[in-house]
Amino acid sequence: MGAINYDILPKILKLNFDSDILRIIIQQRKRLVIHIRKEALLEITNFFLDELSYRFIIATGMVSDNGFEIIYHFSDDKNGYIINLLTELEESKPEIESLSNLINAANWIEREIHELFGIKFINHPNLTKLISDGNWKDNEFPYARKKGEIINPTGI
Amino acid sequence: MTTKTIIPIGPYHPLQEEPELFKLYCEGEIVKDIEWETGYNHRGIEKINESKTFDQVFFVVERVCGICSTSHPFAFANAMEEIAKVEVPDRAKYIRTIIGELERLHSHFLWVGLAGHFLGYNTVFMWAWKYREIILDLFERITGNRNNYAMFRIGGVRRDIPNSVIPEIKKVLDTLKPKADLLTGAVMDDPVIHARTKNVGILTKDDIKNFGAVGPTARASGVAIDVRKDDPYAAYPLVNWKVITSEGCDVFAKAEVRLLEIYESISIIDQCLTKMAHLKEGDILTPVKNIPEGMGFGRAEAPRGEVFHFVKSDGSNSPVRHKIRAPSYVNIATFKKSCIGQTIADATIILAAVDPCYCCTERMAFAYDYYSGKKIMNGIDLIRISHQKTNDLKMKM
Repeated sequence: MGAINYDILPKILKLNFDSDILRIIIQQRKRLVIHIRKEALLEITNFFLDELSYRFIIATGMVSDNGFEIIYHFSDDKNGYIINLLTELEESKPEIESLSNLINAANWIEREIHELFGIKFINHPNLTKLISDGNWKDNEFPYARKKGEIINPTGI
Repeated sequence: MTTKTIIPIGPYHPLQEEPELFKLYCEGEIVKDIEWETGYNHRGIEKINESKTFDQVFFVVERVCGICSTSHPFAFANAMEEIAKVEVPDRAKYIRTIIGELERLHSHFLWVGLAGHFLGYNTVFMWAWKYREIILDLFERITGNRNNYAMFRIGGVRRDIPNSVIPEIKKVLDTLKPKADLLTGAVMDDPVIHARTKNVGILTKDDIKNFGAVGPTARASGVAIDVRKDDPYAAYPLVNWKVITSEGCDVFAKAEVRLLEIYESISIIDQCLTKMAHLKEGDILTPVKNIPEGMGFGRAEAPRGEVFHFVKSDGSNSPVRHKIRAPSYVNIATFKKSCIGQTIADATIILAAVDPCYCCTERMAFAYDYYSGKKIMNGIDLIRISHQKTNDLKMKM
């Protein structure tokens, strides 16, 4: 598929993944945030990479009111759009399917989110610590805290 | 039984945005596998920014990287202006573009010098860094700083470039062109450099897509992605320039792309200066009172590729979440593909080819015997091997 008409992208998505898409927010011109059910992540990412030739930029982990959020950022380099998939994970069991087997670019960032937020990526080939190896306690997640909360991860 | 050797390269690189340790698993001369470790200098900037005001964040992100210190504020400003929905005055757009392109110039000169050093061309190294000084002096003239220019703020720039300085800058740019010609000639016409860099460290289009690589690393494999063209910002849509690509896929192609980009950058700055001269002096800021709730996605093309900033604000004076993705984060991952099957002598130039701010290798790298753990060589030896290979080639030709 070459250039896409962005007026009809929400329709295309609704057509293909009707029940998986919860909400589509047009944040600004050329910026879309799509709330999806986390079970549909692999399928929609596959559609983005193969059918629409999007480029995977990065993923952002966040603490939300109900647990965690992960935003996957994709770039449409032909049209200059940034398309974001937003998934919500519950606090008690933060787990989501890994994208690393689909695209290598997701490998490191999933390891990073795993160690900073404690989110588990199912089927990740090497879910070890990426940036704080050896210096942090295993069950302390430095970014997984609400604003103002203080932790002492090094135990000193 | 073949002897397996681990050659670690790293971890500390003070000039680097991401300190790293590479473990090259070698059999004889051939690199069989590569592993990567990082986090030695993890400063938690993303978390720090959550306790800073939006104006303070500019100074923090400027220090993410020492070489491309403007691209992070650039991307952050783009993200913030998306949230606040402000339009930057034209004069500020031109100034931003000039600073961004001057930075690309000095970064590319720096890379050419380092690449020359790794290949054993220390004259190229000396020349390139000497000419880079001219650009840094220009920065000092315009912004007051040789690095970390502190020019950006939400809605515009902090300092104007007075019209009276424009002829002076143009004069410096004119002196840069012959220097760029000289360096391009030195690299493009040298048979030894061709022999050392052609068909070395190949990355195909599929690899680029798989690893999500950006910038000159992607463009040297024929993937024409450039945020300046794809998702135009600042004054880039207002001037004429073209995206440089090469189909070579190897280290030579990466050098070619960077060298030709020097000319494009000079041309962009020149056009910006000409157009800026007609605009009112001092009109460089759209005041922004407060930042509403929302999400902003800012991008800027750094010398090494796309910088991506994601900011979420809740209407207060500091970000709720600030995600930074530097280009080296995705470019370094390509080593897993480009290094394997190559010789150790070529590893240094392949690692340097994606420009991961590679300055202090000689003090950091040691080779250990896989079984006895005895030190056999260090970084200086690695570069010596690389120089030796160049000398051997010179003798043959």
